[in-house]
Amino acid sequence: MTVSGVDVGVHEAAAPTPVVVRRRRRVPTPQRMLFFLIFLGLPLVVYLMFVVSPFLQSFYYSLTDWTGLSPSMEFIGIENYLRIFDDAVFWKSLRNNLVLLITLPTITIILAFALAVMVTIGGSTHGGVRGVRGAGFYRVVSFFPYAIPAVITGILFNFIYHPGGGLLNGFLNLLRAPLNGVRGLFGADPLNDIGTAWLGDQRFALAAVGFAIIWTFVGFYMVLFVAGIKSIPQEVLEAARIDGAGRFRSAVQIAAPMVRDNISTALVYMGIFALDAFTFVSVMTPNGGTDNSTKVVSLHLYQTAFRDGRFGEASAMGVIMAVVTMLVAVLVIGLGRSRKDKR
Amino acid sequence: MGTSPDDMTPLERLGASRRSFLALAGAGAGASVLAACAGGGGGGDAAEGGGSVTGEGEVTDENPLGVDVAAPVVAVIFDGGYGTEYAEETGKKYMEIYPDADVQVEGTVNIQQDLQPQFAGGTPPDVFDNSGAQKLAVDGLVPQLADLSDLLAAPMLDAEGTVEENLLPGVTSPGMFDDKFLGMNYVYTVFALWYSAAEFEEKGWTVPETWEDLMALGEEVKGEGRYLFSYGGQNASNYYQEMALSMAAKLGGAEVLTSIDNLEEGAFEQDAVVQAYDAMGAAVEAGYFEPGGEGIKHTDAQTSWVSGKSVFYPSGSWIENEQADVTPEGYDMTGAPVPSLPEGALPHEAFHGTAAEQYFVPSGGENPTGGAEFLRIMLSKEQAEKFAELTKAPSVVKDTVPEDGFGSTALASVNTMITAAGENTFTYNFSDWYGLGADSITSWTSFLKGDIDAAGLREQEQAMIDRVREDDSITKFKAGS
Repeated sequence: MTVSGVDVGVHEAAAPTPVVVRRRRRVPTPQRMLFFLIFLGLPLVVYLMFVVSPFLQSFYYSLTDWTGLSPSMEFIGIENYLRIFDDAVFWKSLRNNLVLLITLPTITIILAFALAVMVTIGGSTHGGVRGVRGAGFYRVVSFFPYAIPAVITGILFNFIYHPGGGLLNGFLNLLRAPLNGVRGLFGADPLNDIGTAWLGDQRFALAAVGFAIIWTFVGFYMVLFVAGIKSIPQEVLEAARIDGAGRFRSAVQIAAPMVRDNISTALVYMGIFALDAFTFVSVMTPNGGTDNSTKVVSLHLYQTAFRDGRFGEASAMGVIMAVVTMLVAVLVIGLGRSRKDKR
Repeated sequence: MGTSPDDMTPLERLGASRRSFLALAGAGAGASVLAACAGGGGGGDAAEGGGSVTGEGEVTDENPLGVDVAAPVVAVIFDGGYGTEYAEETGKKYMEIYPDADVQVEGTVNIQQDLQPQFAGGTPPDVFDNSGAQKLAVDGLVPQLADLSDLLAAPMLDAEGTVEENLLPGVTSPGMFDDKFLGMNYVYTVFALWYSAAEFEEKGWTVPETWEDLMALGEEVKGEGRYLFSYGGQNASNYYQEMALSMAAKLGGAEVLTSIDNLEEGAFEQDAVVQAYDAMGAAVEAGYFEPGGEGIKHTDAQTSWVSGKSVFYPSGSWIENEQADVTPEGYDMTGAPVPSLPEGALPHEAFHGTAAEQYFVPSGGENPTGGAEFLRIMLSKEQAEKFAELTKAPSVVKDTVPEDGFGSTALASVNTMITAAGENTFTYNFSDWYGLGADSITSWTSFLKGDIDAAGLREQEQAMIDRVREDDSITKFKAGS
C-alpha cells in the first residue's frame, strides 16, 4: 500500500530518501484515480451500505422494542438480552447449534477428506500415484447432492424418514425378517415392526437432520480437498511411497498437513453453517421438532421475529449469534495459525 | 425459505391474518407504513381513515349507499383457492344494475406487490380482497380504510332486512377495529370433525355424538388395525388443541374460551378444560392416535387419514378443497360437530365457527362508495349462492347453500351444521392474538406422542398464557366484548 501513491500525506514526513519522496508525492493521474474509485471505492460503498450498515442497524434494533410492524420504536436498553437470557427455548436452541457445530464439521470433513484421498491417491500401488478406478466418475457424482437445493433435499429426507412409508424404516424392516429368524432359533421374541418417527423422536431427530446436512456437503468438500491434494507435487507423494508409506500414512501424514489451509477453510464454513442450519431444520421440522429437539437459534429467531412480531428481541438473538459465529471463526483460524507457527 | 407462508398450515395462515389485523389495536393509528421503509422513523402524519362510505349520489331504496351510478369501480381479487369467478359474477351484476358504470375485476396472486405501489401513489382500487401469502400487512393500512358500518346497515339487495341481519352470527368480529367495522370477511369457516360418510354407511357406524361413543368406536377401529385419528406433529398438532377447546366450550359454555382468551390465571384449570383434556388423554393412552405422527407434517397426516389409516380428522371447512388431490373417489368427506361430554352447557350441535377472506374498501380510492356497493351486491343471496356453488365453501350470508351442497358432501354437512347450531357458535383468539401456535404445537406434539399427560399439557399451556399475561411488552386484547 505504501507505494500506491494514495496515502500521500501520511508518510510524507517519514520519507527517508528524496527518491522515495518524489515517488510518493506524485499526484495520481486521473486514470489511477478512476481505477481506485471503481475497484476500491465502489465495492467499499456497496459493502458499507449493504453489509456494515444493516449490521449496525440490527444492533440498534436489538436495543429497542420494535415489533416489525410499527413505524416507531422505543429504546429499551439491554432488556431484550435479559429476556433471551431467561428464555429456556433459546438456550436449548443454542445447545442444538453447538452440538451441530461439533459434529457436522468433524464428520463432514473426515468423510470428505477420506473420499478425496480415495479418488486422488487411493488407487493401485503399482505405477504412479493415482486414485481408485473410476475416480473421475465418483468425483462428478459426489458433487450432485450439493447441486440439489437444500429445500428439496429436506423434503426428500422427509420422505426417507417417514414413519409409515419411509425408505429408512422400510429398509430396517427388510433386515428384520432374517433377524427374527435368527432370534426365533434362540427362542427370543420376534422384533416388532419398526415405525420410528425419526424426525419426531427426540433421541434421533437432530441426528436425522444432521445426516441430511452431511449428505449434502460431503461431495462439495471432497471436491475442495481433491483440488488441494492435486496441487501437492506428485514427487512428494511418490517419494513417500518409495520410503514405504502406505495409502493411509500418505493421506494422514503427507496429504493432510499439505492441505491444512483447505481444511481450516472448510472448518470455518461448516462451522458457520452449523450455527445457521435454518433451511434444513425449518423444512424438515418446521416447528423445531418434538419438545424443541431440533430447534436451532436461527429458527427460534425467525419465529420470534415473524410469528411473535418481536423484531427487537430477534435482532438481539442475531447479534448474539454473530458474536458466537465470529468467536468460532477466530478460534478455528487461530488454532490453525498457531500450529503453523510452531513448525 | 423454509418457513415460508407456503409451508404454513391453513390454520396458521388463518391465524396470521387475524393476528396482523389485531396487532394494530396496540400500534394505534400509525403513519402510513406502506410508504415508510421498515422501521424507518416514526412520522405521525396519519391521515385519519375510517370515513363513512356513503357517497354523494342520491340515496334511495334501490341505491341505499348513494353510489354515483356512472362511476367506474375497480375490484382486485386474490386469485387463490376460491378463484376470481365469483367476483366477476358480482361485477357483471353491478353493471346490470348500473348500466352506466364500468366495473373492472382484476385477479392477482400477489396482492401486496400489486397494491402497495397503488396505495403509495394514492390510487388504490375501490375494493380488494386482502388474502393469500402475499397480502398487505394490515398495520398501516387501517388509516387508509373506509368504515363499512353503512354497508352493514344497508338493506339487502334481494332479501328482507339489512345486510347485517342476513349474516351468520359472529362473522363481523374479525373486521372490527377500534369500534370501527373496516373488514368484511366473506367466507365462513366451520371447524368440525371430518370423516368418510361412505365408510360409515358401509360399516353401519353412526357418527359418535358423545365422547363415550367415540371411544367405543375407537376400540372397534383398533380391531381393524386402524386408528381414530392421524396428526401432523411437526407443524399441526394444534388442530387437536382446537378440538379439545371446542369440546371444553360445549361442555362449559363459550365463557370457558373467553377466560382463556383473557389469559386468566387458572384458565386451563377450569373444570370443562380439565374434562376435555382428560378425554383426549384417554384416547392417546388407548392408542387411538396413529403412531409416528410426531415425525410428520399435516399434509402427510391428512393423506394418511384419507387413505384410510385413520377415521377422523379435526379441521376447518377448507379441508375438502385442501385434500381434493389425494382424496379417493367416493370418500364423501363429511363434517360433524366434535363429540360432546356429558351434561354440556351448549347443545351437541354447537361448533367453532369464524370468518375469513377479508375485503377492504380504501377510503382514498376513486369510488369507495362503489366499492362498498360492490360488496353489497356480493353479499346478496344470489351472489352468495353463486359463490357457494363455484367454490363449494359457504359465504357469511345466511341460508345460501342448498341442502345437497351442490354435490359436495362437505359443503352440505357444513350447511347442516350451520342451520342446526343457530346462534350456538363460539370461537377463540388467544393463539392468533399472541402468536402461540408454535408453542401450542410443541406442547401438543409431546402430549399426542405420549411424553406428557393431560395434566402436564394443561400445565404447559397455562404457563404459556401466564408468560404472555405477565409480559408487559405484549399488547393485550380483550375478549368477550
